[in-house]
Amino acid sequence: MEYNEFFVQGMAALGAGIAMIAGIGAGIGQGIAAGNAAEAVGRQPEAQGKILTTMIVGQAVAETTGLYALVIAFILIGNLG
Amino acid sequence: MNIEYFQTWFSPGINTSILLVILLTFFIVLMYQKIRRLSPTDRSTGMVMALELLVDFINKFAKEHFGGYWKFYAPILLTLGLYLTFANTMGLFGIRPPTSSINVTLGLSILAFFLIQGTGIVTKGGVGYIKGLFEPLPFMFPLNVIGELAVPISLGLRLFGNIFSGVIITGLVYAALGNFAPIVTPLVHAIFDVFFGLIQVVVFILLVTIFSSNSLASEEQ
Repeated sequence: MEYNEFFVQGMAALGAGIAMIAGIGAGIGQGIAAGNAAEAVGRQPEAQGKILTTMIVGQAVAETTGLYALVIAFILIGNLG
Repeated sequence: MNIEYFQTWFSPGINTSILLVILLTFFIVLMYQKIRRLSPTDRSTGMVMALELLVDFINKFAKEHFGGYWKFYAPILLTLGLYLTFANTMGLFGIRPPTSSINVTLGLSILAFFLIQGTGIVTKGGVGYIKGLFEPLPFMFPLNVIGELAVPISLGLRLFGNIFSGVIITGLVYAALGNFAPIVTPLVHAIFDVFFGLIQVVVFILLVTIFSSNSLASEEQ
């Protein structure tokens, strides 16, 4: 097999796809946060506003790892030309 | 908006950032002229009242987290908040948001770095600050340094990733639908520019506050 620029581009595209596997972690984390928030609202419906704010801020922080993967995927795609 | 719109990913967002700063400065000078002429007995109305509520809110927030030092932090937090609010929602005006450029967000994280470390150095003193890096055990020093450096970088990258992915997805929708794009794009703009943008403002300010008040609190013990 010859390692020309097309090989590099293909590998970069594959790498971008593999990097996005990290999205699983962020998804599971956000799901757990949302599930627990729903439970908390069920237990204490009057605290819904506070729970919602806490949940959204927590999810935004948990999203970070997924976003790192996204940034890396974009950098790899940038090599495709 | 076309393919080239999101091909220049790492181009400096300096132009739009400067535009935003000029507009905000103009607005603030205008409001200053208005507020200076008010008499304290009058009831405030309209824009002035909204600004009063905002300043009150930020002051209360800073007092909660910084205690006696709040007077230094409240203006910084309000400035960051105003800048980020308008920077993140700039996509609504057809301008690429300045925070979708990594240069701008890492610039903000340099600011956050000096704010957090400066808080530690000023309140603990130079010796106490360096001693804090060797806790709990001396060989933890490299880990502590890496931890301190990672905080601002993760702040900047979080903001960049969120806004940038919004820009990419909006650009893809525009590119894919062509002339029919205006049917769907209001929703896309509402989600990515307004909702995620404003959440990221809250998250950024909250995290800067928490990290800098952490480097305060360990001194008071």
